[in-house]
Amino acid sequence: MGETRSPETRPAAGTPPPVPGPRPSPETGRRQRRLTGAVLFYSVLAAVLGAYTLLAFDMEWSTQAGRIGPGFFPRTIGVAGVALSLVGLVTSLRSTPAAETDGTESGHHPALVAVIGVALAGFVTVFIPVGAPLTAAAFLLLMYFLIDRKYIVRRIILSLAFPLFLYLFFEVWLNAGLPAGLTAFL
Amino acid sequence: MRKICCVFATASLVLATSACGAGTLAEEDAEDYPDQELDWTIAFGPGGGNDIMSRTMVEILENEELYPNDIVVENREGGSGATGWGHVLSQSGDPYTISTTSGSFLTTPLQADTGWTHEDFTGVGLFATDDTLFVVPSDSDIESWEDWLEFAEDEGTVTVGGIGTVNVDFIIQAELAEQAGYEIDYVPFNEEGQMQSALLSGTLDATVSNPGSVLGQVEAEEVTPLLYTGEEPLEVLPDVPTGGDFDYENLVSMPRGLILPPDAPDHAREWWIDTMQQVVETEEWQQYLDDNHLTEDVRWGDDFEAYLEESATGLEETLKEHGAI
Amino acid sequence: MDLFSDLLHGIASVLSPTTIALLALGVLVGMLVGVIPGLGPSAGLAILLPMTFGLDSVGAIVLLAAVYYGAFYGNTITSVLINAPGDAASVPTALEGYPMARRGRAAPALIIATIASFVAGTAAVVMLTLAAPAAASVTSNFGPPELFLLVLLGLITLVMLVGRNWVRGALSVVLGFAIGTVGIDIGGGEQRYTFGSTELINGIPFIPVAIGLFGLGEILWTLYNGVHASTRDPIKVRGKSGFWPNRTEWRESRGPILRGAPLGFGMGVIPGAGATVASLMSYSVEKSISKNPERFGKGAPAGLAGPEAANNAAATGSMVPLLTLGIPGSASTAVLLGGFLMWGLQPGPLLMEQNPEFAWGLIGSMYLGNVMLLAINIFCIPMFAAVARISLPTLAPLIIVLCAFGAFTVNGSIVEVGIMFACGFIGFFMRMYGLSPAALVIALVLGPLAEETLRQTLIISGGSFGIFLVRTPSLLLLCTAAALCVLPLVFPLVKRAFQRGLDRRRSRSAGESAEAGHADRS
Repeated sequence: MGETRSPETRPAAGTPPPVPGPRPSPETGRRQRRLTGAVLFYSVLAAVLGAYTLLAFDMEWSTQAGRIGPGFFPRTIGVAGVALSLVGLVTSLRSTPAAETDGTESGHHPALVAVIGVALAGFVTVFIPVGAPLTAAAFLLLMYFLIDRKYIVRRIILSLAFPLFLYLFFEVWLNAGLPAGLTAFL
Repeated sequence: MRKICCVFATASLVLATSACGAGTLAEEDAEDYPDQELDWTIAFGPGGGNDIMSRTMVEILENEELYPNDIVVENREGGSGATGWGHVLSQSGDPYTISTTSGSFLTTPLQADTGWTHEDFTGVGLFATDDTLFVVPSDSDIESWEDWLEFAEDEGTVTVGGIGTVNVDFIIQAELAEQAGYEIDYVPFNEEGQMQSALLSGTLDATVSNPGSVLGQVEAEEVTPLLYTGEEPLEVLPDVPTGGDFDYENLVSMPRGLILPPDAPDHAREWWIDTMQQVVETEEWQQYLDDNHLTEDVRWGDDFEAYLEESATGLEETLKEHGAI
Repeated sequence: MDLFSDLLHGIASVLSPTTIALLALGVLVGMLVGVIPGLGPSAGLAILLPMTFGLDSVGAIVLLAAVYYGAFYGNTITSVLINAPGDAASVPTALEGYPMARRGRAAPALIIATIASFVAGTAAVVMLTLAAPAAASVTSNFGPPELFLLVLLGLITLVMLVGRNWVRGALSVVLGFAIGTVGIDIGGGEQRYTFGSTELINGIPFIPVAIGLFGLGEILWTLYNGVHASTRDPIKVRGKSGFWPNRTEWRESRGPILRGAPLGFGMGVIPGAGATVASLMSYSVEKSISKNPERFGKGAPAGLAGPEAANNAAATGSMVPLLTLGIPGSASTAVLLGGFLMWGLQPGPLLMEQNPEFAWGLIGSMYLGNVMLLAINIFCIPMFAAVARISLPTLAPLIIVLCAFGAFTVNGSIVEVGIMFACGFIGFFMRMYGLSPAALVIALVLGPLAEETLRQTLIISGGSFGIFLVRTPSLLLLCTAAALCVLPLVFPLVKRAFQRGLDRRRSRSAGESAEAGHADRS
């Protein structure tokens, strides 16, 4: 949802707008962008469900014996889903989405969420080759660097100790078979 | 008190086992085999038929001190066995990975692109087969297979149940109907519990089930057994006729055997054949077969692989014939 | 009384130090395993299974049963503390418990859940003792048509959960249904939406989806809203939160617990979707009769206590078909059934007759297990509640790692970790645009069941829907469903009419007295 990103909300900006409570009035510009966010959301949903429906029409509506076939539910679900997301799309095009914000202080941080998304994708990719403890430690370090830098030394220790503890706990007690990767010596 | 000690001893054993860490694949002499930890994969969740068999085997191996190292048992559940046996496939050539087979070992590759078939693996041996019992609700006045045929003829089409579609249950129902000459509507179920309550609730005319899970109902006279698909009559129900008594053929059964990964070294396969020959002789194993109402059917090595090939081909043909795949 | 001598005998047989130690061990292991997101009863059973080989059948089954309900409670703790429900039945627990924990009421939320579990658990065991055979006859009336209607009931109650914006609610449900169609179609063996992946043959697994949508989605949402950049930590605002629930919370929980227990037991007896439907129904009942339904979803004790009671009573209820018919009512009781077989017991209608010491020993151990859970929990809650006091920026990354490890461990599959992460983002966007992750998750569980049972029904009936009207049990359920649909429409009308009547009477009496005054004056 890149278009909801606004320049003033970098991750860990550290300088939140001090205005608490309901959204202040000079936010109309952002509202405009938020509006397109909802529109995009429903468009994506409609597209995904549309593809789902198209695939569903490759499945049979009913079986040879005339009973409900494998395509019956997917088709029904797909058509309903497309219709609902189109209704959502139209509504979001027309209405002002004031209800979508829940009035927390310190603004929004879409870039942070995007960075976490990239980090998690990386997490899944390297989890097996690099191993569970190292991947987790690296992820924690990154996360704390992004969101909790106040007591950074403590956080670094925590980032190293927690994965190790958890790994040993899972391995020894649950016999879980987490990937050891580069830390096979453990 | 002794029991507690036992628990803690086992607990510490389990801890020790896992603390040793995973054994790595290494080239070694045939004489030294086995000198590493064994990774025993169960392709299904705890408590199922495959799980019980594996754990019984491991217990015998440990009690009789047949395997000199640790055995780590792991349930690798998912995709009707695709995940577990996929793991074994990925350990190609490793003599320290082993797994047990069941019906899905043959049927899952038929309905999904698993990346493996039974041909890929190194077969150690077959120990037993699972046969099924054909039952009707007891309040139906059907008391024999002949009654059933008459009932089916009167009804025109009967409603029968079983587990899954690409599965032995379906084949048995379809083959019985075809060979005995009646029409069925086959209702596939996902689990035994729902199927049994469906039968008891009077929505189904008949089902096929594993003897182990349905014998309780038979003893309580909730259901009446009409036919057993094994070659010999079931020990606890000697009066129930077998499919052979009516000259029915093709009533497939499911193989309970042991496999090693693809290209496992011959010395490992020999070692396991020798060892399992001792296991199947034990009293515990015989007790297991009795408790779970399995039909003993022992075949080793190449015989086992030939048997798998034959069963798989038969399954595939029958399923294609009945339009399930 | 025969019954009570049997029961006393059963309790006596489990009162040995060994069995009590096993019970404590099982409950603890179950709780610890259940607390890890992703892991539930079956993981706990897998750990303890090797140990049970050295035990006799009663000891072993006591141990396994203890793991079973210990893990249930562990799931509750995770739902409340980090918003990661381990099964569909604890979705309401997460919906209400987590907001309570975030408000600094973690300990009271856990206590309410514990007490609800204990009361409902014990009540359910009493019902099991007294009414098992009668309850079993309910089970044996449930064929596919009845199961379908039951699932339909569950789906109808989703309306309550979804709230006012029906387009978004319905969209959430449809998404859940859509995800539920992935995998091999049980009716015909055809693969749907698996795109050739073997990982997806059995469908998209529930646990990573639930943890992703709830736990991870919530974390992303709070970070997006800048909790880490905020100067005020929402928890520390009311730092001194107290341990015991306050009087209002007690009062609000009492009724729901008492209603949830019988509801849960009755539903739990039905194999299949019992626990989920029970907990959902309890939630919607409480929401519809609550004086402040708007507080639901924001940490209402009633919405926590009722479903939690129903859920636990259902867990006990699902023992009924297991013990009296030999039919497993849920995935976890199927594992217990496997345990029965392992010890050479023949599950079936004669189990209680042929092995009374075993069956009653198990029932007896459930009484003791509930007491033990209560004791252990009251003891452990301060420790668990301390987790909720860690500030979210510190806690969130740790939760993500814990969930990832847990999701991986279930089947050793990295794909499931990926699914969980992806669902985290789906959950995030659903929150952003007002969709309901809870409705999605429940639809994911109930949708495939609805499809399966409807298709079974129509094969049985030869394609006609008349079967729902011909069978008495299904007719009864149909009426209930109709009533559930009509009630929310009628109830406000009735209420308004009643209110109007009251007003009229009041105004009339006011008028009368005025008239009387008037008459007086004249």
